[in-house]
Amino acid sequence: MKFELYKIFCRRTTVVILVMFFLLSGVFMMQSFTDSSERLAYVSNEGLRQTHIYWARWDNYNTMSVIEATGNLGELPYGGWLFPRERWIPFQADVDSPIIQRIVDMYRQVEIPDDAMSYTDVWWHIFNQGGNFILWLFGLSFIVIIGVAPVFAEERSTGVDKIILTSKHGKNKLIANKIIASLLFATVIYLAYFTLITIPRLLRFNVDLQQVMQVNFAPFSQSPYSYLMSEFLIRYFAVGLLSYLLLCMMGLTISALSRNPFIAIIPSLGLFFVTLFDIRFISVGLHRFFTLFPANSIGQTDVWHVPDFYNIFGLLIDRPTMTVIFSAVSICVLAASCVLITKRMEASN
Amino acid sequence: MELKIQNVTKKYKDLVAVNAFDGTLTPGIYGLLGPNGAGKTTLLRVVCALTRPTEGKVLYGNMEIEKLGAEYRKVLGFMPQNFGYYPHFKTERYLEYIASIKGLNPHYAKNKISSLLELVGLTEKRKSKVGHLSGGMRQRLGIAQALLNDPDVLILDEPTAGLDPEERVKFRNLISTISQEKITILSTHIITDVAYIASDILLMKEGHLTFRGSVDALIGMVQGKVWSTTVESCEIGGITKNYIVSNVQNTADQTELRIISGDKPTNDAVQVEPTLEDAYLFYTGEIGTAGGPENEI
Repeated sequence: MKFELYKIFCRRTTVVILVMFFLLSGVFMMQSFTDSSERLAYVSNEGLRQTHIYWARWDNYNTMSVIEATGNLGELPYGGWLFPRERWIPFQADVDSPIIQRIVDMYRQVEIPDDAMSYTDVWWHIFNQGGNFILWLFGLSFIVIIGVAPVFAEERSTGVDKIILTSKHGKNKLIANKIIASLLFATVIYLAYFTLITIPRLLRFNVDLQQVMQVNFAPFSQSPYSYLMSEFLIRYFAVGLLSYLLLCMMGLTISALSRNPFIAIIPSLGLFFVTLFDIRFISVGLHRFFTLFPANSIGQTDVWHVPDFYNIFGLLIDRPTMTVIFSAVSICVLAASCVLITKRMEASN
Repeated sequence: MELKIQNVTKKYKDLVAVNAFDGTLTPGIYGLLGPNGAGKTTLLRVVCALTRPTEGKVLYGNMEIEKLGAEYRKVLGFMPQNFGYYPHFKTERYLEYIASIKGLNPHYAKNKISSLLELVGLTEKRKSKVGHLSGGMRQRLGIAQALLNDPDVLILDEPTAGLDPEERVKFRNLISTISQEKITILSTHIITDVAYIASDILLMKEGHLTFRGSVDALIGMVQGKVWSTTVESCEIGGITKNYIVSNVQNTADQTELRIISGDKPTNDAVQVEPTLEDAYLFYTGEIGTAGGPENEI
C-alpha cells in the first residue's frame, strides 16, 4: 500500500501540480483573508445589516410566491457550470407536484435571523470570491485525474505489470492496493484543501458556527436550505469528498481500460468537462443526468439551487444517509469494474 | 523439481506463435534460442502464466501452474524483455516494492536486497534513481528483482539485449553463478550468451521446437557441413542465393565465405570446424540470407 501511495504522490507531474496548486491557492487565500477582514468591519454597520435582512426576507418571500403560484423554477440558477445563466430556460413544473410543495414548505421554514449580516458575510465571501473557490475545486479535480490516470495504465506502458503479475500476490493485492491508494490520494488532497480554506478563518474570525445560518450564504435567499454554518460545512465537506472519490474512481476505471497514462488522462478530462456544459436547451433529461457527475456537484457553491431537487445529488444533500449510500454504491460499482477490467486484461507485450 | 511443458500451442487469431511445444525441464540452464518472431517470448509468457495457452498445459510438480496460482508464482522469478521500472523510484525502494508484492517478510527482504545488490554490483547505486542507471545497471537490477524470492524457476527474457560486450560477459557469469539448482530459462538470440553457460539448448523456429540438446550435440549436428571458400566478389550473389552463408569476410581482392551446406558448395571449399553459430543458422537460417545483425554474436 505505501508503495502505491508513494507512486502516486511522488510522480514528478503530481508533485509539481500539487505544489503549484497549494502555493497559488494559498496566495489567493491570503488575499481573501484580507478582504474578509475588511468585510468583517461591515458587521458593525447597523444600516447595512438592516438592508441585508430586508432584501433577504423579501427575496425569500418573492421566490416562494413565484414557485407556489407558477411552479416556474426557471428564474433560479439551475445546475451546470458552463453557460448556466445565459442559457436559462424557464422550467415549468406542476404546482401541485410533491416536489414543488416540498420546496415551498422549505422556503416557509427558512429563518432569517436579525443578526443575518454578521459573520455569514465573511463566509459567503470566502466561498464565493469571484468564482475562485469553484476554480480551485476544479483545479483539485484535475489533480485527482492526473494523479490517478497513470495508476493502472502506467504499469502496462512501462511493462512493470509483467513483473507484478508474476509475483506471489499478483493481481488481487495489486488492484486492491491501487484502488485504496487512489481513494486515499483524493481524500488527502481534498482534506488538505478544505482545511486550508476553513481552519485559518475559524481561528481568525472566531465564528460561532451555531449562530450563523447558511440561508444567508446563497445570494440573498434563493436557497431553501436552512442549515447552521456548522451543518453546512459538514455537509459541504461530505458531498465534496464523495464527489472527489467518485471522480477518482471514474479516472481509475478509465486508467484500467487504457494502456497509456497520457491517453487515460484525455477521456477522464473529457468526461469531466463535457458534464459541465449546461445543455438544457438540447435535452433537459441529459442535462439532469450530467448534473449527477462530480464536476457539477462540487461546483454548487451558490449553494444548492432549487432545481437541484430535480437531480439525485440535490435530493441526497437533503438526505445524508441516501447521499452516503448512493455514492458508496457508485464507488463500489466502479471499483468492481476496475477489478473486472484489470483481471481480464492480459499483461503487456 | 520439474517443469513440464505439454504440447503447448498459443494462437493469436490466425497467427500460431507457439506450436505444440513439448518438453520437461529439470534444474539447469536452458538456452532458448531462435530468431525474432520464433515464439520465444510467447512461450515464456505461457510458462510465467501471464497468458493462457490455446492448447496444452504447463505443469510444475505435476500440478497445472494455473491451478497452483500464487504457489507457483512464489517460486517463480521473471525478468521480462524490456524490463519495466519506475524511473522516480530509488534502486533500493524499487526492490522493496517488488519484495512486498512477492510477499516477502520486510526484515528478510531488507537483508536479501542488500545481498542481491552486492551480488549484482549495485550496492553503491542503492540510493540512485532507477531512471538514472545505465542500461547495464538496469538489467542487473532486473536480475536482482527476479531473484528476490530465491526462485526455483528463473525466466530471463533477452536479459543481455542492449548491453556492451563487457557487460554481457559480466552478466553471463552472474547468471551462471545464480542459476545453480534452479530451472533457468535464458531466452536470447545472441548465441554466445548461452554457448558457455547453457546445459541445454532449446531451439525454436516459427513456433516449433526444432532442436533440444547440449551445445556440443547441436554443434555436432553440423559437423562436416561447414565450409570455407574464397571467391571473387562477383560470385557472392550466386552463392548466397543457394546456400546459408554464416560469414562474409572481404580481403584485399577476394572474399572469404563461410558456408553451411550438406554438399561441397565449390570445388575449392574446405571443411572447417563448426561453431554454435553455424549450428544455429543451420536450424534457423534460410537459404539466401547471409549471417547478419539478427545473428549477432
